Amino acid sequence: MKIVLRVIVGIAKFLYGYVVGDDLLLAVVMVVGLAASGMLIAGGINAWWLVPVLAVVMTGVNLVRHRPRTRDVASPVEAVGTSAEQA
Amino acid sequence: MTGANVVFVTAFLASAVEAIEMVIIVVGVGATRGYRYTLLGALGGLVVLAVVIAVGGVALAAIPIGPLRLAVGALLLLFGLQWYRKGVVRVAANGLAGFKGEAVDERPAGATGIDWTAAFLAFKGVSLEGLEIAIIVVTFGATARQLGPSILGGIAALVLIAAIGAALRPLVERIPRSFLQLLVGLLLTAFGTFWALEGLNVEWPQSDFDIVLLAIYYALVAGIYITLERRARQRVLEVVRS
Repeated sequence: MKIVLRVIVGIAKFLYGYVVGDDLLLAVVMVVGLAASGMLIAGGINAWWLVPVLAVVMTGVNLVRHRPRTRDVASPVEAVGTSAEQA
Repeated sequence: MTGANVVFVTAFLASAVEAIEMVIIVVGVGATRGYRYTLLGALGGLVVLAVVIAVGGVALAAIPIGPLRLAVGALLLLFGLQWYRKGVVRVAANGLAGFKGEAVDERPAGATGIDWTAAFLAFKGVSLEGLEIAIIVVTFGATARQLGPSILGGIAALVLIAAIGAALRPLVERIPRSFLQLLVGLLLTAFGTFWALEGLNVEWPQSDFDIVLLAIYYALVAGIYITLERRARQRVLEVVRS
């Protein structure tokens, strides 16, 4: 029973890391975007453009949110490394 | 051309398009994460595919491919966006120099064992694209009553494109790792976007060619983001130095 539970937790963790990664907002917005596209398509609007636009907008939002800030870094080396390490 | 030849060529060309997508994913993920678990995942995909074909046979043509495309596409899109963003940050921070060498390891420090991400990505790419090839082959073959030439056409396309992919492997491995991660990320994002929306019955204006246009679009945006990231990084550096 314990092993089964461990396997389930392991799979759940893997799937969460795989699908969501470190940005829950991005994942949620993309899923909502896909759902909205589905509804628009069902309503007769060929909404092929919505997901590509959301993808780049949300990537931009993520980049800005994870950008190194001057108050967070103490040295030039740290400034260069910070967000690359976060990546 | 005889009817059998026409069916062979049609099945070959249609299957080749799907096989190219499959091989791009396997080679790209393999070069980025290492080939061991990528090829194991691809092999797993082929085994599942073989079982599905053996069990389903001609009835494969009745499989609703839409929901499968949506599920696989959505997963590829979400994962591809992670690598896309990480690729942008790494190329902005480090440029393209000095990144030849070991595959990028995204696993937590100290993690050992199976690389599930590489295996899962390859598995999905191979099983979905392989299923599409199988459906193409069965549909053409059954409709024209030429199942043999159709199957041969599909297999020939798969073998030829896989051989080309294997031949290109050394070339792909020479690409700097940061850039490769960005490249694979944007390709996964482009394929994911295309498949997920196709699964929702969208009509792509240029049909399959829109995968290429999506890749170009994501590449151009990545270029803009890299420039903006570099400028922001430079500003932080100047403030810290002053």
